Amino acid sequence: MTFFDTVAAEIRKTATLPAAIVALAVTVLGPVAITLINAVGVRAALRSGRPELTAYTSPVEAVFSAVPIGTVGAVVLGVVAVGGEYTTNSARIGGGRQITTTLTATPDRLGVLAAKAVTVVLLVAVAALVVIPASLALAGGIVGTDAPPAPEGVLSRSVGAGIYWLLTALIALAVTVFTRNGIVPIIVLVVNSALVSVSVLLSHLTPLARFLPDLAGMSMFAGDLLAFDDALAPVTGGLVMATWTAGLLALASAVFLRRDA
Amino acid sequence: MIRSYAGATAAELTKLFGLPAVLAAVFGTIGAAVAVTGALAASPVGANEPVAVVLQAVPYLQAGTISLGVLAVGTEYADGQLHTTLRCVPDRLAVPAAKTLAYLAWAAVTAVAALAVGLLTARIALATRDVPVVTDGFPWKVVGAAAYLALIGLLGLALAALLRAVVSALVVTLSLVLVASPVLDAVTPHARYLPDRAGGLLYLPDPARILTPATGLLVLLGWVVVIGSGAVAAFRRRDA
Repeated sequence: MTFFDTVAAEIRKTATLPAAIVALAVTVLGPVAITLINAVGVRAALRSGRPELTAYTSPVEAVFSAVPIGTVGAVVLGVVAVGGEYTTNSARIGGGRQITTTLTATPDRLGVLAAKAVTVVLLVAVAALVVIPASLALAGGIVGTDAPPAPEGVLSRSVGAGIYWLLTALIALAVTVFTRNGIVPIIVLVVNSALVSVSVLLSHLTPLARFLPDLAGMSMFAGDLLAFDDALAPVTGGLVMATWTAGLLALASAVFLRRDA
Repeated sequence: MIRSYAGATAAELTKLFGLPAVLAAVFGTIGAAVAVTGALAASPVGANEPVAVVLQAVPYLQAGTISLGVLAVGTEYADGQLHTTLRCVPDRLAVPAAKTLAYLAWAAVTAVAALAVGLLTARIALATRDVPVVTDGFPWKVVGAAAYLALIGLLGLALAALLRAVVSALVVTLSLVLVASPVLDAVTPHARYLPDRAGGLLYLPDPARILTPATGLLVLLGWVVVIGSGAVAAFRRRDA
């Protein structure tokens, strides 16, 4: 079985999980819905001549403040891609786990994990390519001519938001390899994907907190929305988050290779 | 009927005590209370008063009681345990009622323990920073915070009963309360009717003074009752 076959198998397996479909729907529809509400609020504030009613007046910020909802979808996708393998079936049908079948069919453990990572990256990338341009167009269309001139760097921030989702999904995947159960990674990562998170709290205690993966990564897209001072520069932040992701994936590979399934 | 309900509730309490995940959620919440209040009290953004510090920690602690509520119901569906439950208590009103009561008992204990430990931590942490501790009367807002923590977890319980799965119920409840609510609050005043914002008036003042703590509590209870009665109706009609 070639690596390409393994990836094809993983894509089919992950994309047909009900939880993965819901996660993709959340990643796509969540930001669009929040953008819609945000943009309508911004337009109302601008038209009534009271822009101080909302936290921002630019349609672009209406989009980027909706990014955390998509992060939740990316987290869920990364978690279920691995967590689904370890769910025990009902005792009436033998009580087995899918991981046994997976590793019987593909006895190459690194290959399986790499194929899962590629699958998650592809699915999140497709979702990001759809939802971020759609949200930007929607917000621009709703706020229309009342909008202040667009700030610089919309393209790089859009790409940054997409990369943030990709890396978050990969971190979720790696953490779930450690825990072999989706519950703990879901709680920890969803709690921490809020804009006011445990990481933000830590950032008040120590400046080192800006090197945490989520705070470092958020600097790629959040701009002024970030809830703390002296964040890293966008590119540095992205590199820091990518380093975390690579490290966690390497650790997850080592664990997955050495542990009994 | 009361006897059978009491028996079912006792059984549910025992069941929850035997679940490692529930114990992990309880002790995780208490541990999080120590960590978060300690961090808040030590940081410059935290308030200078133990009660205020603990109230600032409540948004983080709600993840704990939500997990507790979701686990209380969701684990029944993980491995067909529900079949055993319904064979022992073949009353589809008694089972959800008993689950709710058992959850509320556990959540109340968890919330009170977490907030008490948080108060102690905040007091110690503030003392090490030489902040004079002001105490004026009984901290009723902490009681409100405990009630809020138990009730927001009830929302998780109701959603778990409706969705019949731990992970999806966790995702929906946590992202509604922790992600969607702050994002919506930045832009629309109607966000005050979301369950966590309305219930939050039990321990926080409302700057807009549109809802009072009592009406906020009613709004939160309304969310719980609507989702919960949907869940009970589905539970009575669906195959287990």
